[in-house]
Amino acid sequence: MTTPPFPSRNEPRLSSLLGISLAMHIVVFVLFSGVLFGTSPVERRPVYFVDLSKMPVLNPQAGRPDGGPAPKAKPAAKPKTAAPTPQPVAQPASKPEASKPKPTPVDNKPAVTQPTPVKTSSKPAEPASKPAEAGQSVQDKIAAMRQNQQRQQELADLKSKIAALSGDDTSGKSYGSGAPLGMPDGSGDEIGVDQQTWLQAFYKENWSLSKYQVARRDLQATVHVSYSADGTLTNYRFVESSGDANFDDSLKKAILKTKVLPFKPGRTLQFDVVFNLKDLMD
Amino acid sequence: MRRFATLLFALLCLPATSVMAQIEVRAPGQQTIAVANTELLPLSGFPSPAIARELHEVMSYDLDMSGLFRQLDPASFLGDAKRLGLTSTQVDFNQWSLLGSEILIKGGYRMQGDRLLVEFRLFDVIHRQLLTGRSYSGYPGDVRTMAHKFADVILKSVTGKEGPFSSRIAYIDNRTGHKELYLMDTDGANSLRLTDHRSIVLNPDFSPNGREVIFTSYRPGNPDLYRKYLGTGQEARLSFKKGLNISARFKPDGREIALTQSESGNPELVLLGTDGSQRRRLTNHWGIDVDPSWSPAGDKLAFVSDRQGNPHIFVLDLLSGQTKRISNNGKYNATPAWSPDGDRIAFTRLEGNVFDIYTIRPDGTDERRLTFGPGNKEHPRWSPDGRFLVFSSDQDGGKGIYIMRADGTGMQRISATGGQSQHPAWSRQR
Repeated sequence: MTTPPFPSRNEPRLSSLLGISLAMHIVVFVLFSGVLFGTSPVERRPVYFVDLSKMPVLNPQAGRPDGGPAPKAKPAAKPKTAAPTPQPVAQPASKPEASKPKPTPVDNKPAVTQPTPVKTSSKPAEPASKPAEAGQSVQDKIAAMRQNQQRQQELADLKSKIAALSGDDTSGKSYGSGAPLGMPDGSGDEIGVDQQTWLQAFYKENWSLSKYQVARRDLQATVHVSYSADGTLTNYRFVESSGDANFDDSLKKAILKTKVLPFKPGRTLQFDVVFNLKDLMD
Repeated sequence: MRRFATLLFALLCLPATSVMAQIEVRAPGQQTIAVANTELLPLSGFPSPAIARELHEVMSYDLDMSGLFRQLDPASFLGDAKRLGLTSTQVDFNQWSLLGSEILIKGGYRMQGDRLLVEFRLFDVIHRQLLTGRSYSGYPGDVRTMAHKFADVILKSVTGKEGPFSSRIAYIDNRTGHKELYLMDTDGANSLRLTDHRSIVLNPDFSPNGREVIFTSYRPGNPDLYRKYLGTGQEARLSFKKGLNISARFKPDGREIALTQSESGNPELVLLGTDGSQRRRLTNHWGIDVDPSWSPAGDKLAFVSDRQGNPHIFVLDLLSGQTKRISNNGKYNATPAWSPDGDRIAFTRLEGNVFDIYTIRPDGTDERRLTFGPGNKEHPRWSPDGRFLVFSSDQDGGKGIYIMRADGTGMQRISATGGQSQHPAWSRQR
């Protein structure tokens, strides 16, 4: 007795199964790719970064453009110890070297220490004011000097606080990881980044163009400018025109407005300025 | 050895190649043009402060409305503002440069009998040259027109495209107790009633040459289409088919008129000759087809239809006969107006029981909402230069006519209070 042959089932062949699978994959891919359904274009808005602590300056000090790594809490704390700064203000009248002993032996509030010398000085001033005006003027001068010193001190405090916040050391003494905010070849005394960035801001400020003057936003032109060592514009030419008369004319005006730099570079300057509308807001 | 020599040569060449720094400026720092708008001085004879003031005020309004300029405070002007200088050699540009002015408006006026002569000059302070000038002669009552005309010239000089300030706006107002057709300047001045139908007048539109206005009036009981000649005041009834004869628009070449008629019972778009003769039916659909607006080339029409359920904006290609829906958002879109440049279509959308104005490209992309806030903003129409939109709104209570820039900024009411104003239309020429 022989076993009956296994009934042949009507199964699809492997190739057809693979074909169906492939077709299904394609269908899924097409559905999810969004080709069949119109996609509304997403308008990308530009993101703007404004660095308020690293402003471009004309004469940057020696340092690093990134201001060095910021994380250290110590440099931030140190300037705080310099908070006794009010004392030097009070001291010049009595002891210029009084910074060595602990700054505020008299009081824990440095601000309060200042009024006291003023009071002491005001005492003699009162009788002096009556007899002669000369005495009063001297008094005024002293008061003005003190106020001036106080202002300078407050300014120094603020600078050190800003530097502490940004992780920069404004002392100009420390280098390496704690380098001050400035430029490697900087020789000036301003805290900030390079001359090129300053020039960029300078050109931007002098460039006037209304969005209603141009029909397109993809305009761009390049102007080659040359300045003499004393900062006078010696030559400019369009390396690449935008093709829009209003746009190009606005650039000519911007260049003419900047025909004298407010500083003497000390050497001839030549560079290309690329003007475009990438950051023009609608 | 040869390679080494080449490398050496290249290295020697390096120092000779100066390294050029490149600075990229990605946007202008000043996005308005500083303008010194001086008060005009008497050319001869007695000064007339009222004339000088009105010229100055109208000019100042137009410059502000353009959005192009930043007007310097006249209090900061130095001695040159008090000197009549009509040529570039007579102007002390140093003074204006010091104030940061980029362009300067100067001029003078003179009365000759009952005639008024006004000289306007526009100077480029940076290049120290005269940009343009005009001499206008008219009556003292034309003072505002003269200032508007020179404002148009200033815009032409600065942007290459003439301004729209000397054109006019037609609108419907009910201050007499009936909805009548009025005409006014672009700043709302010199309002003038044109019709006395003592009925309901609607939907005005200017002919391309600005000499005629067509509108719908219910005077005969049926909403019929009328034409009015502005010069003579003559009126003629152009279309008086049974049912609607509404929302008529001149073709940009002025040779035909598209409007909605409902003679067959269903509102359809129809083309008429300017003499009122029936040319051809443009749409044939069970849905309602209204509010046609011509493309600048006159080869397409934007219109409103509810053929797909809700009222939406469609574009009909007159050559191929193809119709394409372009508004895909909202449930109630109406009153399309094709811009003179042809790149955008303004329309209104009802959302939350409030109409607001939107624009969209003719292909249905890049939809932008222009108006926000309370109140309806309806019936937008473009200025002839495409810089502005005029529309009616009830945002301040009663309906009034407003204008704004094409980007939605600078919205201002221009029609006077005291009536319900709506359905504005901006003339292409004065």
